[in-house]
Amino acid sequence: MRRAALVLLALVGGCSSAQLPGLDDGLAPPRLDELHPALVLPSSRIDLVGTSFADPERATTRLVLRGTFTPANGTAQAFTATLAATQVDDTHAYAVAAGRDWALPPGAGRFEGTAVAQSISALDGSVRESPVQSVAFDCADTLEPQVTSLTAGAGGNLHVNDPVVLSGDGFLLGTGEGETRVVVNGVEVAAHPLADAPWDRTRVAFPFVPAIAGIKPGAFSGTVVVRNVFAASADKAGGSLPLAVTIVKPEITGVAPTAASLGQYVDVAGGGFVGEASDEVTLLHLVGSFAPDGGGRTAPVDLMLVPHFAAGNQLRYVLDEADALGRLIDLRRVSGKFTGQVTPIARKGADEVAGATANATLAIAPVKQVIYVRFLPSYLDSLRLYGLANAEALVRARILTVAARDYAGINVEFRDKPPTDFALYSQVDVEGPDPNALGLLGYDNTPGKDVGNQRLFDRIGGVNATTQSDGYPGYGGIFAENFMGFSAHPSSRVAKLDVDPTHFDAIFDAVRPDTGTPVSAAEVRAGIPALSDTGACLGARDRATRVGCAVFVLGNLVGTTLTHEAGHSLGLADPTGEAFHDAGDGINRLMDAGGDRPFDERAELLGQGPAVFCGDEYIYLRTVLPGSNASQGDSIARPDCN
Amino acid sequence: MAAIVRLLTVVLALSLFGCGPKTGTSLDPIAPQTAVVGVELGVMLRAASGGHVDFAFESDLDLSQRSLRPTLTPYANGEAMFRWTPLASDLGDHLFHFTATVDGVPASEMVAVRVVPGDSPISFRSPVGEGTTLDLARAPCAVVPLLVDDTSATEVDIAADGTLPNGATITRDGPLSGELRFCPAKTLAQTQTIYPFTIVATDAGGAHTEKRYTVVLGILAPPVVSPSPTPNPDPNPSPNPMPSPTCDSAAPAIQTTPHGDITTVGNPHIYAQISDPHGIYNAVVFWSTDPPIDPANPDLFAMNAVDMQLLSGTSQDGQWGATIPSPVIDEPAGTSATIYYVIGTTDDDDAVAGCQYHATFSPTSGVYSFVIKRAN
Repeated sequence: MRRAALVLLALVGGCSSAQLPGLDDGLAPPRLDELHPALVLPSSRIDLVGTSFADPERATTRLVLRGTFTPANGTAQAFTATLAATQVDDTHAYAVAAGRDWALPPGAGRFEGTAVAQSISALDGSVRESPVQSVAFDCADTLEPQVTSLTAGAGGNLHVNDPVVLSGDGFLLGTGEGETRVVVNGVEVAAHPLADAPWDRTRVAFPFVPAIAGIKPGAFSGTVVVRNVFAASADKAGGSLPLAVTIVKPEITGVAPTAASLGQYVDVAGGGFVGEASDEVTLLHLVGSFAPDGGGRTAPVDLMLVPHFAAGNQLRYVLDEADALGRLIDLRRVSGKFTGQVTPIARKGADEVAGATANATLAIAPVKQVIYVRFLPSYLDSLRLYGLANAEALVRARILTVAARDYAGINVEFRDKPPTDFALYSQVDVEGPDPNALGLLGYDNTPGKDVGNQRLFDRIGGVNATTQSDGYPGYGGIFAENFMGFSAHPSSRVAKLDVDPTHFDAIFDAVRPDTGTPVSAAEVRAGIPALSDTGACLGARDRATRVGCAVFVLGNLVGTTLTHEAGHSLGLADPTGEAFHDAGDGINRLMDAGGDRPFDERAELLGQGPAVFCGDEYIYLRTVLPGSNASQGDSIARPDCN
Repeated sequence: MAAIVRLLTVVLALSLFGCGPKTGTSLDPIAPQTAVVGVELGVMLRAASGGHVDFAFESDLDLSQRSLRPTLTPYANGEAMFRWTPLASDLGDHLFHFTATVDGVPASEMVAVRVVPGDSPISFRSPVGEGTTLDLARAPCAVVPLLVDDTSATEVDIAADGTLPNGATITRDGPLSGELRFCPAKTLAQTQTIYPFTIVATDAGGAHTEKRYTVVLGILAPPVVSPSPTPNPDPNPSPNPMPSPTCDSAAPAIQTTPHGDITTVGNPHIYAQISDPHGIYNAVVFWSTDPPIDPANPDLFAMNAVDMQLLSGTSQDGQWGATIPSPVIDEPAGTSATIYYVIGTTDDDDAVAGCQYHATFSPTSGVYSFVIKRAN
């Protein structure tokens, strides 16, 4: 019975629908500048270097080779290959010389011809091609390494895990083709191309791992035996060279940043660090004193930290409430500066080596809330409803400007890229429709009320089972599509809100696809006026102002909803009580309930808005997230919370 | 098979409502799709028509109980975008039946979608760091709060991956939280100082995550007499052997007055004058309240270690000191204990590469000892 009802629903829904203009996925054709390596082996990675390689969510990438293959001592023959490629970033992608699409005859030879990179749109399957690029590369079935020299450390001094560089020729690149390996003191280690020359077959490096000679300082001499290990063929020996070095103690050469807050990474550069194996660890011994900000009593510090081992020359420490530093200093309430010395201590099993002591300072910064604003593809889709898909970058910029403005004086930072410098950060998804199907503009689906912002890792978005089990809607985020409900004629998927639609339509009708002309890419390239207020918006007749107003107002609508929902996740409103919103309907109060936040206030039209945190809320936020320059936030007139 | 049967029912139902398959309209073929749990899948439908097209879809999914439903957005050029974010409960194979209708003439396409697991919905939020240290002279246990974030479940199991060392427990104290407690016995601490833990959180849906956390015991290893790694015999000696270094043959010297018996409410302090021509690498007091099993050759690994600090002078010749935490400081007045200790130091011969280090102990054999009594 339920099924029948569903079918009927599908039929009804399928036979009446408003239609939008054709799609423009905004994909730019890729450009291919270089192809590497110069010698391709079976299963080699063929790297494409250029620009505009598309994100896999937007397009798949392919490499098309056309030309001739001339076998050694043979005659040229036509060769064409279309290889699936993987995008690495905007400027890099790679294909693999393997599979049925790589139909080269066995043996060595040379390919000469052209290469084209293609982006195949995930949206509609359309193909964008790069200009044709002439390319040539050699091919071989196998490769014999020849090592001629090696370089280790500076002046013969080497830290444990420092690279030992082999020079010669015929080394493997460590991708699908196989890798060059060395055996030192009976220990086998992989050698890889240098980071700044990933396609150079004349130089590779291997780390002088602790298994070779332990971690203790002293003289070492041995032999480095080299061979190539292929993915699908016999190994090739490459000779050997003697290695004589002096192993020196670990040392620290730099610490960055010099100020960090709870959940933030501190990178420690140096050498001789260990931690790859389970019986290895590198500790940081801090000795000195901690002077709290504001002139409190200086406290002696003598503690050991356990950082993450990233590489022999890099440790990564994250400020954590659970470790020795976090137990010594309340990282949420105390800021200040440590001054003293830091000593790296390497341990492997029962062996321990204390390294060189270095002077160090590290400021403990006030706790900071970083919020990653993630813009989902469905948000971009929704911008088409407003005619603003081509102006997405401008709308996004306005949203982030609004977010920073609303949190002025509070130690919150909004970003639109995933943070790599903080382990603890929150996330807010900006998407299109409301997955709860409740017509919400935004929804904080984090569980409970986080008074004091104990959770620095909230996620407003996706689903939250705990929230759902409490009887609340499970899906959170900012739902850009639903602002269309302020219109007298929203799209078929959005329910009309019971509000006066006059001003919304006055702003957006000019650019909406069903009532006006969507903003074109050419208009965006020509420049859209950046507004500082909406004074010229209602009644504007010139196209540029209308477009600028639509961008500005949609940015305000989404931006202030974002700051409202983020406020919830920080413990607002009413952090000392039970309410989730301000009581009653106040003027320009950001944490009023949705029904008490009229369109003009949200849009910041006719002198209304911008909405702000009311007085007590601002004081609360300054209490839990102090440290940011308060003067900007303090100077804002704030309504009473009651 | 059940999905196909349901879909056939749907197609039949569509026919009964007048939208059954006829000829004259076409819908471009759509390749099988792979979707990831929690990630929006987008499929473009393209009908061969310049006019108005109505799109519809049906599937084997029961959408009646879910809020996050697929959407279908039509565009004017005969295209429509289908978007769907699968849930964890959608794992597996599904069939979607799409219909495009132009002037009452429908065309349809069946699309297979395989839903695969994506990023784990579960992660550790505490501890955020990689590990902590435990100095048994100061505290008997390391206690690490555990907190798990799981978007798809309201509670998780928290356990160790593998066998825990003696003295370690992992307990759950809330639906998403727990505690790692490690109280190693002294005998265990003597066997190793690095204890890596792998803590696993698992929910009823099968999602799991791991957290590696290391507890490092703060006992410092004693200085080693011969720190140079032992090179293997070199079958191919270097054509350019390292120049023979001029090594310092002198060992560091320790001058100290053995600590006498003491009655105090505080901690005892050990002092020594230590000198070496190339400076001191480290100086350590090894102490224990247990007498050494071999009185002439005490096992330094079985003793607690406290770093000595340079109090005055230079690394070449200076006064060093260390504080031993009193074993009776929290005991009633009059309680006493005997402290056995050895001072050890290693010189710093890094100035000349390849030289061996030298270690000196005081006393050269056996231990010093004194009785400490808790004062009133």
